[in-house]
Amino acid sequence: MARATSPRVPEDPAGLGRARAAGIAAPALLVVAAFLVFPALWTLYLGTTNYRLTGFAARHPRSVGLQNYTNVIQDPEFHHSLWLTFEYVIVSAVIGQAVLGFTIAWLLRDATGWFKRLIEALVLLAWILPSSVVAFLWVAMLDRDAGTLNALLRTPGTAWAIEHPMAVIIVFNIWRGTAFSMLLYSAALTGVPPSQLATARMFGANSWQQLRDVVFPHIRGHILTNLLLISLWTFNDFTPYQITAGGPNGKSEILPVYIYQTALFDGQMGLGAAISLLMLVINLVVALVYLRLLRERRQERVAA
Amino acid sequence: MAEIRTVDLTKTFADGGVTALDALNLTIEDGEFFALLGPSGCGKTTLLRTLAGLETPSSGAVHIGETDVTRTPPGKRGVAMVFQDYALFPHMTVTENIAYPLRVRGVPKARQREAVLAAASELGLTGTETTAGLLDRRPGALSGGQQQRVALARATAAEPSVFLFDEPLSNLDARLRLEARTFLKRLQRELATTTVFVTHDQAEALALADRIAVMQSGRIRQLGTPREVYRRPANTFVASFIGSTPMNLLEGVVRDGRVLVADSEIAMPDGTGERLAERAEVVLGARPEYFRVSADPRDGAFRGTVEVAENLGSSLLLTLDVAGTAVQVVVAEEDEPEPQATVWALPRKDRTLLYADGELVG
Amino acid sequence: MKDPTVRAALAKIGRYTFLSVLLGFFALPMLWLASAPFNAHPTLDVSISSFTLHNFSVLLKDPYALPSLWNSLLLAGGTALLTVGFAAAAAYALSRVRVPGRDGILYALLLLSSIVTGTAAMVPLFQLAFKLHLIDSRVGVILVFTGGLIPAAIFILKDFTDNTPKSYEESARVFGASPFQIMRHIVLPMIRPGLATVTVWAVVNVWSSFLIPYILVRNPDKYPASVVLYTFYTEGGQPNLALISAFSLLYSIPVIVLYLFVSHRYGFRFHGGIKR
Repeated sequence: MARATSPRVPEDPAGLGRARAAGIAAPALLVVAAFLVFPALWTLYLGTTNYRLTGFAARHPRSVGLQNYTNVIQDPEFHHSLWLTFEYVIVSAVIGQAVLGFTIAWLLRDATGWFKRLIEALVLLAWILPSSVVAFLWVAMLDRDAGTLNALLRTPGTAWAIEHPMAVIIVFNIWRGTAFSMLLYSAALTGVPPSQLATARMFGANSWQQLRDVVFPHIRGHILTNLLLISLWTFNDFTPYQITAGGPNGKSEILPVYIYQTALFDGQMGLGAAISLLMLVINLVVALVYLRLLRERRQERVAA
Repeated sequence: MAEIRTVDLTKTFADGGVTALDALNLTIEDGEFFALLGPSGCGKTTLLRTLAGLETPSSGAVHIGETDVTRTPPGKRGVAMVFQDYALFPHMTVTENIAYPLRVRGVPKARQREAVLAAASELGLTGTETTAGLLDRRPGALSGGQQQRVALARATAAEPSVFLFDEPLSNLDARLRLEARTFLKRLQRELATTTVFVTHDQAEALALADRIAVMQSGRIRQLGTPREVYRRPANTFVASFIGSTPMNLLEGVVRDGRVLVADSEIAMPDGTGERLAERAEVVLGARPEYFRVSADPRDGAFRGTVEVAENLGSSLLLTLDVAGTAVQVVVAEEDEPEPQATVWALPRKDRTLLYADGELVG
Repeated sequence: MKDPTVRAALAKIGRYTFLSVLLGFFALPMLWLASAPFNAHPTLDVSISSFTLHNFSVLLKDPYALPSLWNSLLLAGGTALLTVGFAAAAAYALSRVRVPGRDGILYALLLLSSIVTGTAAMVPLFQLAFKLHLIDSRVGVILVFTGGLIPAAIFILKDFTDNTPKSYEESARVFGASPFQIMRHIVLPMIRPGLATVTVWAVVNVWSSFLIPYILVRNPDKYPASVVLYTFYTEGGQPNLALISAFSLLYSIPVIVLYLFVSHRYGFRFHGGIKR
């Protein structure tokens, strides 16, 4: 007796076929292979050499195996930079951008009209303006003599970038990147069934309980995607260099800046490349953790 | 206009080794309005898609007219398919949607326009106040009924030999569905194009089709006209599937030329007596509509008490407790009994069916 | 005293106060951009000692300023075109024909793209471009950008192509449309919001990007605006605030205009799901 079938989801509805599909995906894959994969792998290879920008090692780089890596892992400056980077990512992205972005999306979810548009426009503007411009705007605002922040807070003479470098770049990153989270959560919130919120409200749930019991379970997948992307972007963000240049004395030397100093300033390209690989590995671990959480959530949903 | 024929058509899906179609042999006559009916997962949609060419059979053949189309790609079979969600292209106007099959063939613009107007008029999409300007609107701006008609117009504009409809009425709300049903039947008759449609709604199949194939697990359990399928379902599966009110299927035993069911002795229908041995286990099938209910005792009737009475409008559906078994009967509104009354329900002998091992006897 | 209407009113006031503070927070740094370019003697504070458009005429006289904006435009436009075109085709192909581990590969490429935009990849990129004779070539810069952006573009677009109902394509196919006709007539129009999003995102990325053009372009005539702005405040002792402010403003306007245009027409969404 034949078993009954389940309704099928059709594959390849346009009748592309494997060959044609490969053909139309080819340009993208070729460009990626040549200009992304190849240089990236080459960089990783450099990490096993003592290549330098100038001097003898520039002409005749020698393979040094894993020596760069052992040097880096033992280097306290690397640990310091790593620690700063985690601080930067967690406070400014995972907490700052995500929470602020969600808060704005939540508060504005039912709003219409000019106020909503104005806020959204400004938040987005902070994201869209070119990074060189934005960096300079912050330099100007934080200036100890003429900067608007000191004028506003009535704290003349405070050199923010020197006295509180980490705080500065953290707030800067929140300012700069909240737009993405706001957009994402805005879209995600439209997918929460209003009937469930209404039901919760009728049972007497207050705003916080509604959020916890109805909204968050629905958008958990989006939260994870959002956190993954902004973590990775923040991790690799070089812009703070243009505000604090990693200083003073390395107090805000997050990893991208550390690599820049090592590879360009000190000219140790091989070492810089090795650190890049380590950064990649850390990114990978972070991404895998998120993906694991995401997959658990998917299974939970299917089983329900 | 063409006849459709399948020869030992089989389709298995690689993952899980599920057999969606099991060596089907089917002939659909030219110009026929043919229904594929069955519960979800029975293979009816797979069969429709195989006729369209969207699925390739694992073995067997499909013929449309004189041609073996088993290996012919979907665009070249001369069929037009209307999907359950209508698949009206949201970024094109109604005119552009209807013209699409012709545009793909490279038909000149002027001819496209003519064909669109003809199809639209055929489907009642032009010519009244409500339809003014409809041809220039986008599908999103149309009502459900209008969308369905546009989908039909697009299919007719393609001038196919065969129409394939996947659940054509299920997206409409109840009221609209009945109107659309009548409309669809009339349209098919006018166009006289061979039409195959898939549905899980037995009432729809009965109302629309010239012939129905009732399917289960990749096999055809019965093939016949609506009357045949309704009056004489070939097996208990079809019997339980067809009919707006479920047929009573009651287990019984042959005893002394009668069937003993729920402590009642029911007469055996003609032609069954000689085929069944004494003590044979059978299932008695009797539709609720085919009972005569009275307050006086009757020979060969079920004696039961009225448990539930459901108002169906001009009639009532009574659920009777007959010695612990539930038997449902339909009575006219003026014959409504008192609750908990004792009644005798006599099944019509010419409409009673007996099943042995699931198959119809006689 | 916990009158619900009073509480609701307080909550509303609280909400609006918070949002207004937020408004201030986001607006504050940008004030300089609105004031300094028009200031005859621009300083780092937000005030206009005397309104003037003179700064802009100084800018016009600088031989590299305006041409750099044009360069930025070419680079951004070229990259956007290639990126959207290639990524849309790839996203569609990958959506429709099952590739095992597709998502895994895309994630891997995304991670790799973070290396390529970092400083350590500078030398390999330079040497690759040198070998391919693409130094000082706009095409070279465009290709490098495209390579870095495509993984994320495919990632965004596949969400859209995954969510287009397959019945549309099957319907067209039964009507006789070839796969290319289906892509052109049906799929691409339906993922327009996604295409618009990727375009804006690619343009914004390239417009801002400093490091890659800085390595790959030697000739100042071909510098895009991001590099030229950098030269304005690193060359010479005192940064020329007149040039910097006016140029920053001009440099910012095109992306703002683009964003407004696209969000008005198509809506700016990162996630698929076609509204029907």
